[in-house]
Order: sequence, then structure tokens, then C-alpha cells
Amino acid sequence: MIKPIFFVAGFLTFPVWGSDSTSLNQEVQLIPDHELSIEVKTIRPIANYVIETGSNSIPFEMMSRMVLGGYISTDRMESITNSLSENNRLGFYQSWHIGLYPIPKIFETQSENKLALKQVRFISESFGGATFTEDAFGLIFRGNTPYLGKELNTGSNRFMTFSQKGLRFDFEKKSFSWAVQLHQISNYNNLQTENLSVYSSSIGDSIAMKGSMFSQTSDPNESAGWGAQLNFSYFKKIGKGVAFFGFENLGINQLSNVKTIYRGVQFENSSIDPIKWVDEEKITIVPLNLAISDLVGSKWFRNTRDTLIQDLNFDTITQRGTFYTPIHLFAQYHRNLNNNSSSGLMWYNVRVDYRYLLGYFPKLSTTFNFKPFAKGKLRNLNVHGGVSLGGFDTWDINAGVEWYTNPLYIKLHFTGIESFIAPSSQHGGGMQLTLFYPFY
Amino acid sequence: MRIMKFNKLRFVLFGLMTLGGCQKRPLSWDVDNTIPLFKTTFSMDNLDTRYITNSSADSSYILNYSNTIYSYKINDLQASDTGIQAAFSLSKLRLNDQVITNVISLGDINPLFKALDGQTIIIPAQDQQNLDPTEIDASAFFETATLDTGYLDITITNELPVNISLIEFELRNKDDNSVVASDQFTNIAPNGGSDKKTIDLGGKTVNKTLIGVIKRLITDQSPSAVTIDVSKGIRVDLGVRQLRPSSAIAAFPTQDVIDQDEGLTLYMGGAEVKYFKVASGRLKIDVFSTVREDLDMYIELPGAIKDGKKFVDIVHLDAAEPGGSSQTNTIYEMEGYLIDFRGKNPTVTDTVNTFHQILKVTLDSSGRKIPVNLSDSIRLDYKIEGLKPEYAIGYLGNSIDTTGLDTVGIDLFKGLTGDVDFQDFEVNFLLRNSIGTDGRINLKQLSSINAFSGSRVDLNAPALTGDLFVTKPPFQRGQFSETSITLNPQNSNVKTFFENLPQLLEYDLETEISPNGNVNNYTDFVFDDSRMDVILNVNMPFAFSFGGLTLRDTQGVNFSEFGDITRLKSAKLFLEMENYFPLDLKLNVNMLDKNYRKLGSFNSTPTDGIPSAAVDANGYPINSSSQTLIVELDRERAQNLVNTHYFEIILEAKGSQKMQKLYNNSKLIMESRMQFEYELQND
Repeated sequence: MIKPIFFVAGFLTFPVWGSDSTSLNQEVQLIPDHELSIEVKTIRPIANYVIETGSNSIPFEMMSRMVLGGYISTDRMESITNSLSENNRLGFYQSWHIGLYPIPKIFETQSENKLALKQVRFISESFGGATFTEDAFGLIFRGNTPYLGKELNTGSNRFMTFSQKGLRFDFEKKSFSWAVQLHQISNYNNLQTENLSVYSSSIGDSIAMKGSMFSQTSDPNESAGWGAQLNFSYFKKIGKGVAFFGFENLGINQLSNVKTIYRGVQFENSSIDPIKWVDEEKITIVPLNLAISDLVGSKWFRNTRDTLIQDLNFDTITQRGTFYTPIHLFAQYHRNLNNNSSSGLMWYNVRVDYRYLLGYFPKLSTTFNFKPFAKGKLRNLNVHGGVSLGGFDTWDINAGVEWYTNPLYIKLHFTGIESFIAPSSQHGGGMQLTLFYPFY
Repeated sequence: MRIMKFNKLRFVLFGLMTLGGCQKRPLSWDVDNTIPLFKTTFSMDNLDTRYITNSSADSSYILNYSNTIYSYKINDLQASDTGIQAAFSLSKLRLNDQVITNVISLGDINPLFKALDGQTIIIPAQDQQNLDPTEIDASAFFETATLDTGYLDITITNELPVNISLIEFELRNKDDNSVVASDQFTNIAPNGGSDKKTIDLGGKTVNKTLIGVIKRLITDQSPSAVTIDVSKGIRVDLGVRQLRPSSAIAAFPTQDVIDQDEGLTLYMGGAEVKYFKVASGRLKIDVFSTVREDLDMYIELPGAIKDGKKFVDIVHLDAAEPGGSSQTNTIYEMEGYLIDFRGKNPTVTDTVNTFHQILKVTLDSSGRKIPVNLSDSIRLDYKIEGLKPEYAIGYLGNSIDTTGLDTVGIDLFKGLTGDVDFQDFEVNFLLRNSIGTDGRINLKQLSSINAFSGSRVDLNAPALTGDLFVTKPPFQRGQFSETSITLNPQNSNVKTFFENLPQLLEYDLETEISPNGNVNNYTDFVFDDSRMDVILNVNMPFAFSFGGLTLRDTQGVNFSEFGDITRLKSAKLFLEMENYFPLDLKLNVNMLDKNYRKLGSFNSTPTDGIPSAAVDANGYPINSSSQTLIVELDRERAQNLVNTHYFEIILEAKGSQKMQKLYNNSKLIMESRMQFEYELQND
């Protein structure tokens, strides 16, 4: 009987919900009819794409457009707004990486007792999250005309996105894996409001506004800054299974050129974080008194716009400062079930994830892996499925496949399949595509 | 197999990179916002107050409009640029005339007579040859001079008591022994007899030291015994005159190289000017010299007075350096001078266009002997430039100007079409003359043209036909004489002419100044702003009735101020109107491209516009009417804004058909807000 050989180095992570193979070391199972080899190889992910979105109220069709782009009609936006709860959240995580393989053997040591560079990857990541009220969503995404005669108490809202691109260096020593990443922040956006309310009169001839807000935006034509982060994982055999622990995205970033528009907020010179929210007087925008001679060409518009900007009492500054990458903590227990069989239920795992990111709740997930065929053309196919609670969404049904096509190992995984089936009513979805290749 | 695996890997990797790395589209959605815009009030007081004034009697308005149809100005009176250019060279320089006297005594003739000095004897005949030469020193006057022209007068005076029957005299340059002159004299009587001969020195070179030589002297015997006085002898006077050197090293005497005192005539374009007050212009004097002596130029214009003083100046030019030149350029601004153009001596000869000038250029001798030759020159350039009058007095000449068919804009009814009936209409045509001479105007044709409807009405007014005359105004800037012709419905079709609401007037007229010639005996005048105007003046109560009146205006628009209008989906402008005008108002707005072609229009509701205010029996507004006018641009038409460069605004006013006035409480109050759909993007 061919016994599977476990490769200590180079594991796959199962399942992945919105993250790449975060754990560098993972147990794999040899394909039964694959020829045994005495060569010790590590199967490593050479390319990976993952996207994870979710919300407790925003349907998947909008979330996917927020990440991937697209247009939402007025009618659909109204429908989405009406389905919101008073407190809403959403978030997304997207990344892709490509491994800069192969690392020459001369850089590797054969000894497991020394920390060795195993992998270098080019990686791109995008983070986004928001907490918002129904009124804020309506004001931003529908305008004030649907709310004439009503007061919109948008309250406290936060919206943040940023992206980074860089190089990650993966090191391994026995059960420990470390990765050091250096990256460039390609864009940064941060919007916050406090006690913001907007009242438009019934015919729209006056608009009253109260509250504080600020918006920070990096220049789209320039790098927003630089950063670095650390990733870590550790595995240990516990009973018949393996436990993994670790963290990703423990990082700090320096922003150099952020334009901030604000009112009712106090900042320090060297920080992008507000130090104090200040009550601002209510301002009411009414028709601007103009002489007939001012109604010439676009002169009236310029006067109106300039007066409006002045009345709203917005200030603008350029800031620099630091912020922390939202850390991702994870823990997983993996148990192989059917080591002696060439089909059937192969393994299961239970996993906990937490991202310190707006819109993300701690996530508990479980996955079972099944190999339907022992022989034939589909003998290299594995399927997996599971459920998760939390994350960006409330709950998800997940599924996917792995396929071994010598020497490539392909994994395709879908998070929140219910959102793909009913995108206008369900809230979170994602996918992951990973390629693995055995290397020395 | 390995190649297939590698290709498979490469394809999948590429797909992953494309999936993760390609630029995604932004999220976009439409927002519908309503914002307040502006509030404004339009009243009659916003119109040009030149045209509309408020009557205190009943607070209605009076229309007072004035428009210059045509303005005639004499072709700018300006003296033509005139000047004197004088250049003179060595031929115009002269050396002083001078006389040198030399005595050849009896002792010089024959030394034997020295021993006989005082004795009384009969002097025998003498025949002496090559007597000792006598040096003649002219160095005080020149070093050397090659003469172009000149004369040497040799006078021989015989102081001897005997007759000189022959004397051969020769004059030489000492340094080179060249002969300057030689001649012979015969039969010069004794005891003071003299003879003179003139020798032409043209072409000869004379040096500072000369030698006079008597080559032969033949005297007769004395008729009787005479007392011998050896001090007496033959006196030779050498006189040089009219010396004009071609080159010389000499001390030049102080002399005038230019000496003018005359009248200088300027061409005035046909006018005959007696007096000319200069508004602008200049006198330029440039002097250039290679002569190594100082020059002084004296200029005086006795007839040019400013602040009670006549124009006088002296310009000095230093001597030129050896081999070099010296020059001076002087500009006199003539502004403010009153120039008498009656000639050099008007009490003797009173002429026109001629002013008296005195110009003298003097070579100031230093006494030094300086080299001068024919290439040396003194050049004087004296010019009057750009002389323009503040005013001129004289006879301006007779000139006729014909316009032919031409048009002029009239903005009283700018942008208006419609059928209007004015209550009263009286127009004054003013012929206003500030040119200081009589004038004649002949209005051959005047037509009103409405540019929008194309309709045309020719003016039929017998009072304006034929020649119309205006007299000469008083001599004071800004003063004018005026001839006024009043047109009303009784003596013309002027009411119909203006009820056409013209934007253009087409005319053909002829103007003439001094139609009767110089009847004012050179007392005509012209200021720099003098002209003859044909002015239309309307002054009447602003009362009218009309069925419909349309006001058009075109406003340019720059949408870059508004942002990216390609994302504008639709727009609706709400105008809350409160109308105090006794007129129904309707508003339409068209979009025009850069060539003024219509791209589309805004929908305007209600379609019948804003109703008139409620008025009393006198048409005085007592209650306003309120209406919300909505001007809408729907989604289909919104894209036309991208190519819109102008808005054509058409305001239609409907009257009551009754004669009515406008009062000072007539106004239109507007408050606006806008609702618009705009596509936002999350870049």
C-alpha cells in the first residue's frame, strides 16, 4: 500500500475565506496513484487570487461592484437603501500574489534547524470596510431629493479603503514560518462623520447641516506611502490532528501626502488621526442674493459655489502620519480522516479568523474535504464544502474543488455561494484561486 | 510533456496576473440632489439709467434715449513733416584776407649806397639782378594751405627818387623753393609811384614762410642830384584775399557756416492755417561735424510762444577728435506752443502755413591751427515731425464726405420683436456741430431694420429732406451749435419707423464743411475733438400697448466651471416668480453650439408662463401674481449640454393691448433652486 508521505514543509491552507494560503506549512496528502518518490519536495503556492466581500445588509451585487466596479441604477439603489438596517457594515479584502520562483537551492539549507528563505512573492492587497447608518447611505447614494422635508440623522459613519503592493519574503524553520513584507501604499481613503445631520426643506430651497466630518484622500497619481508588515504561523501535532496558529498583516504604514477636508475636527500636525471632535454650529444654505448683472454666464454658479464652500466652513490640510494594517489572527485545527482510503471523506478542519477591519466580525468556519473517485479520470479531484459564521457577512455556505494535474495543484474555492445564487438578497461572497507547484 | 506543463503553468499564471492586476472600473451611481441657487429682483431700475428715468409726478417712467447715428470728423489736421538739411564742406570755409608788407631798401638794392647815405648825388641807372631774398612770415595765419581759389595782390610802391623801369618779382615757398607767384612791373614812377598786379592762386600751395625775391631791378638815372636815403626803397605789399583752401593747416576765423532768417512753409493737407496750438509734435535737430573746432547752433522761432516766451535755444557741438567726428541730437517737444503761421513778417506779408525761423550755425575759432580738407564736413539736419494741433485757426478748406449706404446699431430695442403701439412718440434729430465752420448735412436715406423679423421701414419725413445747415459754434472747446428737427406722427412716419423695433438703422448721408467757402476770413477753427454729429434723441413717457413682445438675449457659457457635465443626467430649474409687472411673461431657453446652431431646448412649464400682476385703472400694479416656472432638461437632452456654448434666452411678454405705463414698483422677484441627477464615481 502506498503510504502518503507527509511533507513537512509547504502546506496548503483549507479552507480560505478571503485570504490566501496564510499558513506556510501545511500537511498535504499524496495522490494515491502518484508514483512515490523519495525526493523531498515542498508544494508551495506559486500564484493566488482571493477576494472576500460581505455585509450585514448590502447585497452581493452591490458589494461586488464596489470591489470590481460597475454601475448601479437609481431604482436598484432605492431598493438597496430600503433594505438597510439602522446600523450597517460592509467590508472587503482582495489580494493576489505571484511567487518569484524558483529560489536556487544554494539559498536553501537542507537542514531543518536553520531559518531559511523559502519563497519570495510579489503581493498586492486591498482592504476596505465601513460602518454606516441608513440615512448616511441614502444621502451619499441617492442624494437629498428623495428626503426633502425630512431630517437625515446620518450620525457616526466610517469608511476606509487602502491598497498596498510589495514583496514578501517567507522564511521557515521547522514548525515556524515567518514572512516579512515591504510594500508601497498605492491609495488611501478614510471618511468619518460624527453627529452629522442634514435637513432639506420640502421644496429644497434651504438645506441645514450640522455635525462634524473629515475625508482623507491620497493623490491618485502618486504613491501614498510605504509600509512593512510581519506574518507568522506555527503548527503542532495535537493528537491525530494538526493545529495551526498565526497572524498576518501585523504592519505599520507611513503616509506622506494625504489631503484632508474637514469641519468640526481637530488634528495634530504629525498625525492623521483626529484628536478631538468639535461641535459645529448649524449652517443653513439658502438662495444666494444676486444682482441681475451677476446672472451672466457661469458667474452666478461661481458665486453660489464659492459662498456655499465658505458657509460650510470646510478646511483643507495636507497631512502625513502612520496607520496600522488591520491585523489578521487565525487558528485552525486540521484532522485527516481517511488516510488509508483512496476516496471518501478525507479530512476536516475547524478555523477561527479575525481581522481588525471595519465591517468584520470574528469568523468561525468548518470545512470537510471529500474525494469522490478513487479511479478514473476524476481520481485527482477533491471537493470540499462547509459553512462559516461571521466575517464580513453574517453566514456563508462555502464550497470548492482541488484538482491535481501533474505537477500543478489547482484549488478553486467559493465563499458565500448563496450570494452568487441570489446576489440581490444575499450579502457576502468571495472566491479564491490558488496554484501550487512542488519545489525542492 | 514538460513543455505542455510549462505552457499550462504559464497560461494560468498570466490569467491570475490579469485577474488581479488589471485596472477595474469604478463603482458609479446616480444621485438626485436639490439645492438652493439664487434670489434676485429685476426692476426697471436695473435697466440703463441713461434710458429710463423715474418721473416724480406719478412714479411712472420716462424714456430718454440718445444715439449718435453718424459722426463726421475732419481728417486729422496735421502738418506734414518738414525739414532742412544742410551740409557744407571745406569749400565753404575761408581763410582770412591779409596783407604782408615788405620793404627792400636802397641799401638792399646796392650796398654801395649805404656809404653814400645822406649825400646828394645823381643816382646812376641801376640794373640789379637776384637781390637778396626777403623772408615773409605768414605763420600767424596758416601753416600751409592748398588753395582752391584765392588771389594774391602784389603792390609795388616806389619810394625811390628814381623811376623803376623794370622790376621782376617772384614769390616762393621757402621750404621747397616752389614758385608761388612771379610777375614784372614796369615804369613805376619815383617818390611814391605804385603799381599793383593780381595773381590767381587757385591750385597753388602756400606755406607759412615765403621768400620774396626781386630777380631784376632796373632803375633810371635820377634826373638831378638827389639826397641819398638808404632807408627808403621799394615797398612790396602782398595781399591775399578770398582764400578758399582745399586743404589747409590754418587757424580758421570764427565764421557763420549757416545763417538763415526766413519763413518755413508746411503743408496742412489743404487747410490754410493762421495759428496752430500744438497738441503734439517735435522739432529734431541733428548736427554732425568732422571739423576740429567747436560749433554753436542758434535756433529761434519768433512766432512760437509758450507761457509768454518764444522758442529760442543754443546747441553746442564740441570739436571733433583727430580722425573722428562729433555729433549732437536734440529733440524739442513742441506741445503747448502756439505757432503763428502768418509768415516771417505778417505785418508786411500776411500769409498762411508759414512760420518764421532763424537758424545760425557758427564755427567758433579757437585760434589753433587745425588740419582741414575737402572730406571734412558739417551736416545739419533740422526737422519738424508729427505736428498735430490742439486747435488750429484759419480756413479749413471745403470738403464733402459721402457715406454711401451704411448701418449703425441701435440698442434701444435690443433683442426685441413684437407688435408694439407707443402712446406718444416724438423724436428729435439733432445736427450738432463743434467744428469751427459752417456745415451742411443731407440725409438721403434713413431706414429702420428689425434684425429678427427682417422688417424694414423707410423714414418719410419732409422736414429732413434736402440740405440741413448748421452754423459755426463759439470758439471754445466743447461748445457746439445745434440744429434740431422734431419728428412726430403729424409730420412724418416716425412712429411706424420705431414701432418696427429696430436694432439697425441704415443711412446714406452727405456732409460738407465750409459750404460757402472762406466766408469767415480765416477765422474758422478746429479742435482735436471737433466733429459734426447726427444724433437721434427720444424723450417720451414710457407708455405703450402691445400684443406680444419678445426679448432675446444670448449668453455665453463655460461649463468647465460646472465640472464634468457629461455625467449630468437631467436637470430641473425651479424659478419661484413673483410678478409685479403688468405683463404676462413666458420663458424659453435654447442651447446653441459654438456656431450658434440650435442643439435643443429646455422644456418650460407651465406652458402659458407667468400671469401679469393685478393693476388698477391706471395700470398701476396693486397685487403681484405668483407662479413657479420649471425649466427642465431631461435625460435625452442633457447630453446636448456637452456641445453647448451659448444659451439663447427668449422672454415673451404679452400685454393687455391697452395703453399702459410702467411704474417704479414694477418688478419681478425670482427665487431659484435646482434639482439635478448626476452620476458619481468612486475613483
